[in-house]
Amino acid sequence: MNPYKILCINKHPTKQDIIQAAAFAMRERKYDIKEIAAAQKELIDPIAGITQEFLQFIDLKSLRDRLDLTRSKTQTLSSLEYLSCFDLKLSD
Amino acid sequence: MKKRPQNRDSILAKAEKFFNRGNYPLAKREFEKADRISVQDDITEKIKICVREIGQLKAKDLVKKARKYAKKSKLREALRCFEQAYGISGEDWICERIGQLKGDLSGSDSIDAARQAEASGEYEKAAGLYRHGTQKGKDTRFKIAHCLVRAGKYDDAVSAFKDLTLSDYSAMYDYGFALAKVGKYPQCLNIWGPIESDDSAFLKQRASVQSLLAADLYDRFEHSEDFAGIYKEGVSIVDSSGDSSIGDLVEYCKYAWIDQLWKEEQYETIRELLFPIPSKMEADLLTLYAKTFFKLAEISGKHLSDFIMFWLTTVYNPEISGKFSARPEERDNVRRALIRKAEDLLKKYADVGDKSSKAALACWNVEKKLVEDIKAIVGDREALSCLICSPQFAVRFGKSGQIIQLIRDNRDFFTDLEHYLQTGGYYSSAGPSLFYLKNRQYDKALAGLPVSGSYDAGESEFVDYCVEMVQFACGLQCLEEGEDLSRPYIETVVNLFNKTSKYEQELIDKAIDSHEPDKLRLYEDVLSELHSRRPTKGIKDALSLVMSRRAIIMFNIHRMNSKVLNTTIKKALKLNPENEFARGLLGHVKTNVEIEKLNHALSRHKMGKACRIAAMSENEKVRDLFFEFMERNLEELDGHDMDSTGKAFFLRELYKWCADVDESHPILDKIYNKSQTF
Repeated sequence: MNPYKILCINKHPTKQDIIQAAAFAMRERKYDIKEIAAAQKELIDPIAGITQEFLQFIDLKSLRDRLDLTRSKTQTLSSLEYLSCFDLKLSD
Repeated sequence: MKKRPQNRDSILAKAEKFFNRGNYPLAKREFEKADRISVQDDITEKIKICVREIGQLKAKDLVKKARKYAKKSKLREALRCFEQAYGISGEDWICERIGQLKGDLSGSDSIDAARQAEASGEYEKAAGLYRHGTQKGKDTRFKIAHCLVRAGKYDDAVSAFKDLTLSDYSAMYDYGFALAKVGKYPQCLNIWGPIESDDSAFLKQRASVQSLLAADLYDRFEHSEDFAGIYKEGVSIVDSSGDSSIGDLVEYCKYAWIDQLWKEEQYETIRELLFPIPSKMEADLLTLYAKTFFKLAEISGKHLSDFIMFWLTTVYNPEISGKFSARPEERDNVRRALIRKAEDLLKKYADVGDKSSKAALACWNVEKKLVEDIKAIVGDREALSCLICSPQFAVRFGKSGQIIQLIRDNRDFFTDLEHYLQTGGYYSSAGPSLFYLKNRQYDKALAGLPVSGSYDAGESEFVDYCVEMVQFACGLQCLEEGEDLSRPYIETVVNLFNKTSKYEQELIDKAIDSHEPDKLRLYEDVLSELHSRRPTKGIKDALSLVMSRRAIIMFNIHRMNSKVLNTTIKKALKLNPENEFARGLLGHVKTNVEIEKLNHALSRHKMGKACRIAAMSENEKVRDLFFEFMERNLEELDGHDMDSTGKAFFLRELYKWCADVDESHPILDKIYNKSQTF
């Protein structure tokens, strides 16, 4: 169960956000009432909330930020000239 | 001599002969001779036939020649012959063939012209002429494609090469070059892949294409979010060329794609991207692995082993758990919650799953305890926090040696020797065998033990323990399955028992729980061997009990006589004089032996001996049996065919035997009363 998905809610929601999202989810009727209630309970409880945040989100920013995206010097297409080295081999 | 003039009839006869044989030239000559003598219509007709047939023969000959020329590609000569033949025979097929030959001659001219154009560098023209040529074989198609490349018509060249099978480097190079020129760099590198050439210009050009592809990837990276496409192409370049200049771009795209995949819940694809697992694992990457395997475990039980390895290491990692909360208590609660969630998943699979799911749960329980212990040992020492990991993780990331050293340095932490050895054992190179053992995979456990000398001296005490544990458990399994054990096993087991006696008790319990004679024999042998090396009270008592139990079972099924039974029971009692079972048996056995001897004596009428046995026996049953025998004899006396004197004599003897055994036994009165009747 992903309570964030059920309640259609972002990371770090406030208690008010959670309650409003639960009310909205009940009106939407996309999920069962029990699922919505369980999702709300999970996110309101501090320990369960942290646990769910850990489980449902990934943060790869630090892994990406350490990478060097500087381009190295590149060639131009026009610099490619036909080579005849393989023609010779063919005639052999 | 003057030649005699031939007459017309003989000439005609000769002519007819030639005609009938199909020799039309000679027939014609003879008919003409006859015709000169006298003109006749039928002869004129025959001459016409001959002329026609001679023409047909000539035409046939010309067709034959024409075909030979065509075969040798001498198209002009062939054409000339076919034309002459057609002039004679006028056959339609010859006319068609002439048309074909004329076409071929024109194509042949095109090929020649194409060759000339190619040689003079007019490639576009050459390509066109090759196209018009009549020979559209594989070679010509390659020539067309080659000329298009040389003419700079790269799109056309790519199309021309498309359906051709590239068999030589020349064609591969041409096709790859055309692809590069139309911006299809990955395809170019793919086509050039098989070319094994040391030519520096070619190597430089290939590097240039790689560089162009890298630039292309960067352009796409800056202008789109096709991280998957850029990643796949980037990996292909890095793999094929070893070009590290785009390594970071590729990795960046991998993580960006993983972000997209996570939102789409495509966890299996993420898993594929995370392999091969790198040799070093920093906290953020470890978290990604752990979360991915958790999500996969929610879907299926396919990757539980990897899930356990990453999950335990992650939740106990101080850097990762530090982000749960700033408050230590809350941090511990979150960790417990995360562990509980993992455990719930594993239990779910173990409850309904196969052997491997149950094994995963068993493995989890062991690893959780081990990681908790390592965490407790490390405590607040930040420098050592990287060692808090599961044994599987330690093996994969080369931390086992350090952890073993940590365990050795903190021996006092452990509650007892077994706790210490077992913890070290799981982290040692014999650790996998202990896991197999945990799941009762005895063969794998034995096979997984490291060969002596293949491991560090620092872990030898733990490996020794693992070897002893595995051999003990496997040995016990053998005994339960009714198999004999070898002597070296006993040596190993003694070493294990010297370290921890709980396994001795396990063996004793198994032995005592056995009731089948064959299994009891195996346990008796093992206990006996063990007793000679380690005569503990437990082993003595167990041996005593097993020995006596087996003896009575064997006696009861008539596979042991009372004498051997008696000796065995006495031996068992010598080992453990308080063996109540043996003591009880001993009395029973003694009685049985006396009864057996009494019956033997009575059946052979050795009454003196029978009297002695009955008199000396402490058991009432023996005496009762003696007197029952005497009573029976007394009752049956009347029926015996014996005179009064004889009967009186027998009664006197009977009285004497009985009195010898018991002077006050009531039978004496009966014998006396009976004797008064004689």
